[in-house]
Amino acid sequence: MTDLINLLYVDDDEDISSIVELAFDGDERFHLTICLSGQEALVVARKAPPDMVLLDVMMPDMDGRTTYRELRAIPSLTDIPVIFLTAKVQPAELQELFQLGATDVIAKPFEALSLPDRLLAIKRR
Amino acid sequence: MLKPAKPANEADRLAALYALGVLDTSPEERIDRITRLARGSLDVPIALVSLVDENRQWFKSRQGLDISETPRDLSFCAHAILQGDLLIVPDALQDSRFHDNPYVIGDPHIRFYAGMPITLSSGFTVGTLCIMDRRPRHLDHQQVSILYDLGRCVIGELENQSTLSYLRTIRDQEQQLRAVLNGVSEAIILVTDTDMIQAANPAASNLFGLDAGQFIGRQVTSVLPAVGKLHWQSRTRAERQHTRGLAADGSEFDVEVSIQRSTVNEHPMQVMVIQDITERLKVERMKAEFVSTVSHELRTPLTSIRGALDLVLDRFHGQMPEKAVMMLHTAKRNSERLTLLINDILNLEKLETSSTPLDMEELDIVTLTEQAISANESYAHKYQIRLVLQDAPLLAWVHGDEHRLFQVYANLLSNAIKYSPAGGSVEISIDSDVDRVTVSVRDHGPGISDAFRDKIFQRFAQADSSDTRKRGGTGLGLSITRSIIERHHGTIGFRPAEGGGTVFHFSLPVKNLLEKVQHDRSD
Repeated sequence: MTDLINLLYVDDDEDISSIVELAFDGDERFHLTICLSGQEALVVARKAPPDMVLLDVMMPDMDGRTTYRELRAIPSLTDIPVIFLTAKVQPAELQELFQLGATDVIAKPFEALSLPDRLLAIKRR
Repeated sequence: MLKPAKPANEADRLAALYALGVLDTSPEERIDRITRLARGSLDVPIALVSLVDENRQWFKSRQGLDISETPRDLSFCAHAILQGDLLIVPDALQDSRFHDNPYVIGDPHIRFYAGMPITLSSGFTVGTLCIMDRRPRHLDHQQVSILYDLGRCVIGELENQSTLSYLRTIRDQEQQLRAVLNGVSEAIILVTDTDMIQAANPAASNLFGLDAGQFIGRQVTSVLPAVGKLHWQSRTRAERQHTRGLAADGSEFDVEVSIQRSTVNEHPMQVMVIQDITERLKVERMKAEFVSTVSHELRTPLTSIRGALDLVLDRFHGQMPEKAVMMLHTAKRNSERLTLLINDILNLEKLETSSTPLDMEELDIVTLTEQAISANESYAHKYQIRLVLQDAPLLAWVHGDEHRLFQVYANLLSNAIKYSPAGGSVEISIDSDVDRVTVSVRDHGPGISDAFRDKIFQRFAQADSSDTRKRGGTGLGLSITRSIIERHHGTIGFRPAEGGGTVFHFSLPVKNLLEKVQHDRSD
């Protein structure tokens, strides 16, 4: 049996958040925490460091890139996998996220049902 | 009567005559003055400047004769040309060549003829200065001398006239060329092999903020620094080059330069056509940003729609009436189609943006074809179609972007699969020759109607609107395919297949030829 993965999901879009929440509902491999902003995610992450972060790129106030840098600055989060969710999928845009340090990038729209398996595969990799 | 034979150099002689540019032109005083002088000083009723072309003699100047031309076969002058020197016929009635000539036995009743050949400085004789009388007579030594002198005057006038006419033509051409150069919006400069600018058009002056005079003698590096640094031989390797232009005020801007080699007065030159692409790049950037933003704005709600449909269908499938499930599947299918459409629009946008580079590498098209067939097997299986690789060489190397060429296969194979009847096959073959490799994909579908042939590679083209629903797809696949092939310097087309169906085929230059083409362009 594998350890429970504490997944921190950060997205300002409440519709997509509720879909992701439902996709992980009942999945015993993950413990999902949803934050609707980068600031909220930083507070949560400092309190309870996650094992993995799923991070939307386009968010108001603090976007995904800034949130990423701030999260990485937390000592316990320097090496955890951070996966970006983005609707901007031009090669240059994807390349920029990988250069920033993304573990992987998932393009929107994604298959919600297979999201847990996909994240698990990335974590194992 | 003896018809005059044609001289051995007739073709060149005629060419010299036509080059004079005087045939069928209006009378001119300076030539008429000579014929008047000939008539008066030699005391004859008729004096002519006769030019003999293929079928006639035509009189550039005539004194004492009403007709302006006669058939060549009846011409005295054609005999003079043949003789190559002064021809004197003292009495035509006594000369077997002319005694029954209609102009001798009839009007104007020629009895005496003397024709001084008009031999140009090129050595070709194009006609005569001739005098005629209605009575037999002779010319004394002094009269012959006058005829020679007047003949030389005619030659001088005709050649001067020819030179003037040539200069006029050159001047006209020069003015036309200048009008074109002054009128084009592209800057054009002429550069010597020592990189010195020798000429520039007004558009170049505007672009770089330099007067035409300030251009001359300036080094090309002063306006196109990067191009100037390139070796002379290597500049024309690329058809068009993006680089930076440098204006007189020190400002820099984006330009596209195309360079053609030329020779002026046996000196090697380069003609550089320069276009300011600042605005174009700005528009391209705005377009890319717009497409990216629209894509983002569409993808985000699509994520919710697709996710919600997936989850409802997965989690609540058993709790819904069958019709509701069917409707949800329809919604899901269309949300997937919308995703494909957004991807295709993005693809097309990228391909048609000239600055988007392709990831080119050496590829064996045979291996790539086998991989593409393998990748599309499951899709073919869904439609109960077999993919068959028929003919293929062992290897065929091309210079290409693997990912993009894979897209070409995916589009062509999926179309062929969709349009072929279940249980059938789609055949793929590869032909390779010295310079090109051609891949053909043959389906067994209904063929392409005449009305649709011209539109097939256009965006959102499908044979009829119901195709979108029946066959799926976005209507952008073949447009993307063509863009990819054209970015590879290849060609794409289709033809009806024998026995029904359609063969789509694309050709790519084999690697060696492409290198050769680029090399040749640089020479």
